[in-house]
Order: sequence, then structure tokens, then C-alpha cells
Amino acid sequence: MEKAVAEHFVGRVEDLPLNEIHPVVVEGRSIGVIRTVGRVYAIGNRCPHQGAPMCAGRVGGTMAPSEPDEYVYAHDGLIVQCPWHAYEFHIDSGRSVAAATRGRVATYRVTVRDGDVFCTLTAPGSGGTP
Amino acid sequence: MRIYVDQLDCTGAGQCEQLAPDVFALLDDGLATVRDADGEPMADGGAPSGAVVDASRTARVLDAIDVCPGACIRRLPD
Repeated sequence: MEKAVAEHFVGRVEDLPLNEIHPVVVEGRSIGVIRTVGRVYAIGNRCPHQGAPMCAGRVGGTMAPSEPDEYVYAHDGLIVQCPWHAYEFHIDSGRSVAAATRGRVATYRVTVRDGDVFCTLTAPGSGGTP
Repeated sequence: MRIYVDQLDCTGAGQCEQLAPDVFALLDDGLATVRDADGEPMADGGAPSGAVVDASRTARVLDAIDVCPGACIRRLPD
């Protein structure tokens, strides 16, 4: 059975910049809230590689596997790139793109109600909410 | 020394397990935890009680605390 955990208000949807990382502190933890076109996500602030501050990274896409001489840009707005070594992670699961590095970025549950954005600290996170 | 893994911040890098496999375990869900006195992985990362680390393992556990990318290994008062 899932333990009861508290929701924490982290801002209004309209105040969250689109496809940027909005840093907040919840229960003493540094968290990055990311509003995408369809959902809001929350990630931890440490890269599993060497602990870089993910809130200083950038949100974008990544290059998908493709044929030689073909370049396919994918997952636009759903990838966060580490500011130190450019490792990329899916913002919904925290998993490393193409398993380039071991581990994951922590993710936390986000709920949006009437434009209010709430973050719930659960482990592991379950990604965003429409 | 007693320790537990704060799984809210764990990134699953596994460096703790590499340094001290007799103290830490990386679970199937990608999160680390500590082992109990019988060597079995503890639930919830060992929180809140923590696992006792004997003197022979202390140095490796301190190394794990230093290098953990998630900075999520918590020390409890003795």
C-alpha cells in the first residue's frame, strides 16, 4: 500500500516558463519543475553521473537512432541535458537516453488542479500529470 | 555508525554498491538500499532506523557517502 504523502504547492502553471527548468525547494530538496506543452514534470537536481545540478541544464530534444546520413531530432521538450557532461535524460522517467550512463535523475509526482501545480515526493516518481 | 539511503534522492548510480556490496544493494527498481545484519536488502532504503555499519566497513561506507552522485546516504546518530 502506498504511504500517505503530502502535496506541496510549487506555483501556478502560467508562471512556469515553457520548456525551462523552474527550480524550487520542497521539504529541503532541490527540485526542478518543468512545464512542457502537455504536462508538468518534476526532477531531482542531481545527475547520476557526477552529481551535477540538473536545474542548470536545459530542456530540449535528442537525436534518435537513424540510418547513416540521416539525422532525426526527436522528443523535443521532453529531454533534459546535464550542464556538465551533456548526458541526456527523459524528464518523465528520469532514465538516461540510450542508457548512456548508469542510474537516473530522480523524478517526482506532479499534480495540476485549477492551474495550481503541486509536487509530491514519492520514490520512484511516476512522471507528470496532464 | 548507522546509515540509510534516502530513496527520494537516490539516482541509482550504483557507486555505493560497487564500493561496499556487503553494505549496499541496488534493487530491481534502480534504487539503492542498505543491507540488514543478515545481509538482506532493507525496505525503504533502511529508513528510518538505518543499518549498523561495523568498524571494518566504515572506511568504504564513508567513501560511498563522498562519491554518491545523489548525496542520498544519510548518517544517523550512534
